[in-house]
Amino acid sequence: MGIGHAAVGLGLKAADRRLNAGLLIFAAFFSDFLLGWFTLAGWESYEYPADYASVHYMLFTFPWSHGLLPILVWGASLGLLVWAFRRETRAAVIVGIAVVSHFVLDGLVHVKGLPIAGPGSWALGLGLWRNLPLELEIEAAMTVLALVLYLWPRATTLPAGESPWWSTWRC
Amino acid sequence: MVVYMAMLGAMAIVGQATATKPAGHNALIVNWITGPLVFAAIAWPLDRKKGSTP
Repeated sequence: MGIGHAAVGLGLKAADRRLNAGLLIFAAFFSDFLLGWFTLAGWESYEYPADYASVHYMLFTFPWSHGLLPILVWGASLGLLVWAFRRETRAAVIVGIAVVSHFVLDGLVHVKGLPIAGPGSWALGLGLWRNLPLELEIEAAMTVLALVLYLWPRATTLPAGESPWWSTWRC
Repeated sequence: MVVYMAMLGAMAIVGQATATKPAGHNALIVNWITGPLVFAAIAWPLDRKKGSTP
């Protein structure tokens, strides 16, 4: 998934208006950032299917950047980093959620699947890329929804000191 | 931000839908590493600008 990750990052801004959308977007793409480094190091790999020209998707072996357990660790790590700078648990949790969202979104679209617990473990991949028009429509809809959440007037017109309803939950 | 997301979305969607030739190894790695940084670096000042607008 591509723009869908940016959409999640942008949409999560609604959960805490003090967090910069740039940080949330980076967090939502963090697994791809790691994929680049891990592929460079030779720890992860990819392949093009023979019919790539017609299917338009790649196949990945990326247990460390995209596996569920590793992503939970990456999410916790980035969340802890944010907490170290801001001392705000909610902000840290939101950044962690942005990181982990990558597994959920990619799990929907990838054909080969994302491993749950590392190399050789069971993999989750619903293969929505096999129906690319539908997948791209979903990403476009996610982008529109994210922009609505981002621009939603209520949160920006609240009186000073008043929090939006979704910020009443505590971590 | 609306224009930025629209452009980013159009590029991503059209790019994937029309991709027929495999990208090179180095190009992929550069994209994976720099993409998130660039996306975030563009969004950051746009969001700050929005935040400072009354």
